[in-house]
Amino acid sequence: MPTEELENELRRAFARAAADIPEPEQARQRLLQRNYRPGRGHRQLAAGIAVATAAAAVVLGLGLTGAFGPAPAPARGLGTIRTAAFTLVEHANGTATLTIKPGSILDPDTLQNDLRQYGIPAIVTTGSFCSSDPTPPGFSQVVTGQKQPRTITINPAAMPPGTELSFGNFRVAAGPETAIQLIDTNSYTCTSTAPTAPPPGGVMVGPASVSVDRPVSKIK
Amino acid sequence: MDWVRHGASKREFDCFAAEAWDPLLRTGYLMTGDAKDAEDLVQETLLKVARRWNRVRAMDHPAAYARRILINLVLHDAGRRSRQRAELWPQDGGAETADESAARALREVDDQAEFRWALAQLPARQRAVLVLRYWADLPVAEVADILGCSEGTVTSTASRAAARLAEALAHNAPPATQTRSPQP
Repeated sequence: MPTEELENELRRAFARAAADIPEPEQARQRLLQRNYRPGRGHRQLAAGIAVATAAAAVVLGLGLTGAFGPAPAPARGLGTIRTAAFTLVEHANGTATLTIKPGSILDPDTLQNDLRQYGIPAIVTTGSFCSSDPTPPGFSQVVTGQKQPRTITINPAAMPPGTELSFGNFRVAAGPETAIQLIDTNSYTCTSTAPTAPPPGGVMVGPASVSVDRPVSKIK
Repeated sequence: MDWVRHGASKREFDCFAAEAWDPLLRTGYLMTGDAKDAEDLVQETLLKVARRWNRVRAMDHPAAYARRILINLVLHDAGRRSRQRAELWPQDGGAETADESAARALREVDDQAEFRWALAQLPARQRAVLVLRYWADLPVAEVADILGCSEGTVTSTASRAAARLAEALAHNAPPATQTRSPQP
């Protein structure tokens, strides 16, 4: 056991060293901006490498919507948002049409924020999918299919109170796919296992392209 | 890998993270000697806590749990790079600096970079003992619990680590010319 004198000197030395950390506030800001996303190796982060299609990106944010690194600003028109991966068109009746471009992996923050901008509460994840058990009813009134491939129309007015739309993006062997389902905002589980079939009461957009709700008969 | 996230639970986690990040960052800084590495450690630690939040939130001291995770991340990383198991019982048999000399060496530190460099020369588990005992100010029993060793080992390791630290300070070189990588 070190003497009391040495222990006191150690405490003082460690207090001085800990106080010497450079720019802790900037560190806090960077941590907030990262949103603690899994699947982005901390050494990579230290090197400042942005991986746009990170394997498992679930936002565990601290009340911020910051993404890792600045995202390219989407092109916005009147009621329309166009990005490299999707187009979101707002309609006068309050619905919005989402078209996912073939082969695209959605940037979760961008899509989530843009959906919210059009009044559609959503949780968008990459490399994971969130669902509730039991699944809230009403998906077929909220999401309807279109004739165009990979296009859905969302009616936020039809969403039951306390629900959100869950979008889970995965890159599978056949290409990117997106599972979509209604979830209970206050009770849901997220898993990193890619669904092999459309989720109960929901749909899958992408290579699998099988719908379980008749109004969305084929979303490809 | 499953985790549960509830609305209220997420808000609790946010509050926890807002309070925990600073002490975790400083602990990581002392353990690694590098601010960027410390930041990455905090990220990884909070991520692990978040994944288990439903369980962690019921604990009496979630912050202590997070600190334990951070320390274990450093030790695990060190273990990967070195499979030596003699860290807690150094075999070099070198002459130990007396406690008085060690205390004097610590008093004379006027450059924190020197101190961090000297700390980085210690094996990770010795560093952990000093950081937990003298920065986190944890009782010996708690340090022993975190590191999975006896209380006697903690006290003897603290003495040896302090002696090594003083020795490193005595033989210090300009930090700019030395590697910042801590010992495994």
